[in-house]
Amino acid sequence: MADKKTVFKFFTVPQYRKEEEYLSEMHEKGWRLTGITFPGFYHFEECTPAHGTYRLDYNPDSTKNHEEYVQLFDDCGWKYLFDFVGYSYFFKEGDSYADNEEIFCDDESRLEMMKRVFKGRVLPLIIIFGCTFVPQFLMNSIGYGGGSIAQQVLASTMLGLAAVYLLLFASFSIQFYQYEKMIHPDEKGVLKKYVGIFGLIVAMAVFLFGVYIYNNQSDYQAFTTDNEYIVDAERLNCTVKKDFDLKEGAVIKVNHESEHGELYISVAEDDTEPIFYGNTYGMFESFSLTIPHDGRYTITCSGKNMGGTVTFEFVQ
Amino acid sequence: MNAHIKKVYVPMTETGFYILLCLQEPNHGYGIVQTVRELTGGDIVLAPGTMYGSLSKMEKDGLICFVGEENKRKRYLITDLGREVLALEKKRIERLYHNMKEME
Repeated sequence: MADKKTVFKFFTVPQYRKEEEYLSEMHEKGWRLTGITFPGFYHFEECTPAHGTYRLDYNPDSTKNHEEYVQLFDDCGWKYLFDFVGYSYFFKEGDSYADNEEIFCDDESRLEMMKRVFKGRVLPLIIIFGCTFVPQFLMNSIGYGGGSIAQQVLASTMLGLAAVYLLLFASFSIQFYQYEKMIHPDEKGVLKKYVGIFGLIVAMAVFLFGVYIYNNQSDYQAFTTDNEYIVDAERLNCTVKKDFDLKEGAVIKVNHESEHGELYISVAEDDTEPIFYGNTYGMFESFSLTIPHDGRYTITCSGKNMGGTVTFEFVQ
Repeated sequence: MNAHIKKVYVPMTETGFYILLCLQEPNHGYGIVQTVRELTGGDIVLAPGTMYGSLSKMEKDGLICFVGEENKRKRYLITDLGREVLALEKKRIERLYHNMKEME
């Protein structure tokens, strides 16, 4: 009974070259590939160490005419192993220098395969990115009513996912650039194209983080007039406190005009229990508070993406 | 012949040229590989990934068509459009050869 082992290895979608090298090296060490399980468990079986070449092809057309596809490779000396997430795995035993070790014999067809990988695997990721993460992020960070804790968490999560995706895209474009440069070393347009793509990725990152930071900033005015204390906010994401000396029996009329976001209000005498504490997700009804006894009271307004005006009118 | 075909196939790759040249007679992918190897004295060995990709692309573009199956190997034949493309390519190569000889 031959010895078996399973190794976890992760290759991103465009890293098929690396994967081929790895599998060929393993074979030379005496480990023959028998299968792969999602997401990246490589199963090997012990074999006589020998030189062998593994090659990956990505061709969605092949599923329609699978027999013909496998037959053609077989005729050319390549043993078909299996398909794994769109890639077909082939193996050829023997010295690579003695026989042709490539499944592509010209650069055009190598590029064609790269394009198929891009269309089949990378483009769907870009569409998911553009149609779900970005709009979800924007809706939850600047959208109407934005500011509840659930939305803040969602916005942060979406931003995190978007960052992971952008990193992935950046690494993909570097890998595709390397392949394309290998194939067309003298073409200047290649570098230009990838600089452009890279610029787009960076611009997207700057835009998303910019939106996030902008929406977590505060832009407000807090001021007092003869008998009023007003907090007028374009966007309030912090806590504003102010102390007032108030007499027993005085009345505070609170009026809140909300545009968006969430607001917490508390009115408390020094370190005692607040005489009022409440929060809103939307609109406060106007209400009045009566001061129970003389003292120094702190009015605290704490906002989460709050836009609007709160007016505290003091009536003696 | 539309602009797309012209853009993609003129000039064409050596692989593409040999495929069209061979498919003036019905043949399958591996048959083409063998014929080309003989024609070039073993210098050009077309690889299966390239061959399969080219055949399916040319079939999609209507340069060749499927004519029958033989032991899991699909046989193809050049179409009229394929002949047009081949003629253009032959002319280009003839001119190339001609100019090369003249400048010698």
